[in-house]
Amino acid sequence: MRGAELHQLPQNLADMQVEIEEYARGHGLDFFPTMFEMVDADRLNAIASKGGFPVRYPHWRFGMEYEQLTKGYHYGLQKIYEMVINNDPCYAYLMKSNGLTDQKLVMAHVYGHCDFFKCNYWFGQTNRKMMDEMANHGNRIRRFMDEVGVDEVEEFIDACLSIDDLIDIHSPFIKRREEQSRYNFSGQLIRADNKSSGPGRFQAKPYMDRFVNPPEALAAEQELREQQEKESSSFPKQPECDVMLFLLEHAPLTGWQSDVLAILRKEAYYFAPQGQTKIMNEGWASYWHSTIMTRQGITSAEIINYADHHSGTMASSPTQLNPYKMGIELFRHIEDRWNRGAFGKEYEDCDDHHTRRDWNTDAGLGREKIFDVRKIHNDLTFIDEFLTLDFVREHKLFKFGYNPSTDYYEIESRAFPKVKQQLLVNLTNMGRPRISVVDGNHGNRGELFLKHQFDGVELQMDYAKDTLQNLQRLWSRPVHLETVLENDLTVISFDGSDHAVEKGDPIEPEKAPET
Amino acid sequence: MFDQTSKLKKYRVRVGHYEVCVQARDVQEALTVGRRKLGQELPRLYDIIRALKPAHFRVDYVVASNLHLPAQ
Repeated sequence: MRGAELHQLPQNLADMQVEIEEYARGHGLDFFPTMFEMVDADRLNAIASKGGFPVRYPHWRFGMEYEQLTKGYHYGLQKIYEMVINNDPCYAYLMKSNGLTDQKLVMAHVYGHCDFFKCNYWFGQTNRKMMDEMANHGNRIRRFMDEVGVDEVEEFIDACLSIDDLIDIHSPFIKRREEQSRYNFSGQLIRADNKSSGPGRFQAKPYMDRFVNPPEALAAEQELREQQEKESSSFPKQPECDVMLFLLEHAPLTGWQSDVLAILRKEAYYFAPQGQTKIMNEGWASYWHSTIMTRQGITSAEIINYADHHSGTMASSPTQLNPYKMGIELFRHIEDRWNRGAFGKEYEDCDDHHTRRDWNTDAGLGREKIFDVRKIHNDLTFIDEFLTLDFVREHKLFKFGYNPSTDYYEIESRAFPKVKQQLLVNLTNMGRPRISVVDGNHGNRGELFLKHQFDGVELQMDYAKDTLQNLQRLWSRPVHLETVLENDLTVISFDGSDHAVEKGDPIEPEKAPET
Repeated sequence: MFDQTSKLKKYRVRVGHYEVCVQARDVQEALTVGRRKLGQELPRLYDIIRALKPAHFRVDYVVASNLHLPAQ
């Protein structure tokens, strides 16, 4: 299918699209039909402020983001070149004011993204009709606004959005528990039937009973049963990472509130893979715009313009990681290694730097390998698997941190394990804290108890307090959060009117393994 | 399989505006080694260099007079 026939692009751009699409397919990219639309800067900013969807539910946040983008654009601080939506068909927007070279570059870049959306495993569970679904969400929320009032719905949305990163990003791929039917009302009966009574005894004559049913074994079994019973009555049975789902199932919400929370949860899951694959997705798209443009796309007259804009996108700063640069360089590094056959046990076991550098078995597997990588990895596994010592040295990566004695941010380390560890920590759970519900009936008072899995980074207190306030609003009973502050186990609570911070014991530093 | 007995000679392998110098026993080997070296020096064009037909390469034997020696 040729997208150019289906919508109105100026003829020269429509021809260009056909040409670039041909090149992309020629390189083996596989994508949904892609629809390009030409919009002016104002319209593009309006769409971008709504996460790329022209029709969404009304909310003040979108207006705020539109203002930021528009001001940034008019002050010359930022400019959106393109925008592409994971949907079938894929929708992509071109900025009207861009030059022809830029449009070509953007099209090649977009085809890279579209291929990634279609073929990457982590996007496999996303809704490919999200454009329609977002519009439906908008209609439903607008109807609720008509029924109960704009302010009430908007305030409720604010509360839900403050916890929209408390989801279980791996749950689309792992069946954590049995699906419960909405129409199964027999839960109470099953619980009554399963109620246990004393430990099981074997039949035995009285004089043999002590040997057949030894008292210590019976006592142990009784204890085990009590433990199991206690566990089965604890609520939730396992810590629940999907806090939104827990609230949806157990919080005292009205009909419209449940619906709004379910909508926002669905949207959070739709956007999650984009957060999980930022480096890979941008790297892959940049790799392909660079390959298509330098090999086929540009004419000699366009080279300077292309090089200027490409290098602008790839620019690195010493203090910030550019996902475009990191991604494209890692893909090129992988391709080069697999072309040279620089992988496998023999290569890994080689200690000589010069031999490793000049390693070449002429394997020629690079292109095949990067296609495999884009299919199965996300940023975390991508970095974990392919960030090598050579790469870190070549690109001069370092870890930096605040030095209180000099009052400056300084380079802490260039050591490979530390740099890699820092990157992995930043990418785990998309850099968000891991918080789960551990008790939905804390102190037998119906209070909510959450636990932050501390991995060395403290929660930002103002954010934590505001989020607790919003959680309390949804749960309508006091909420508590266990975390670590200044090396002490701390419980932050909000009871509906006041915050309380209760410090506990200092946490034990992990003992280093003895060597 | 190359003839192991003959001596190594210097060849210049040229493709487009780019060239590399390699040591090989004959033109055929020079082309193989040159292709590999070009692929290593231009990793982003690896697949293109690999797929090019031999006719696209120009392989010249480098005699001493063709070498640019530094001025004394």
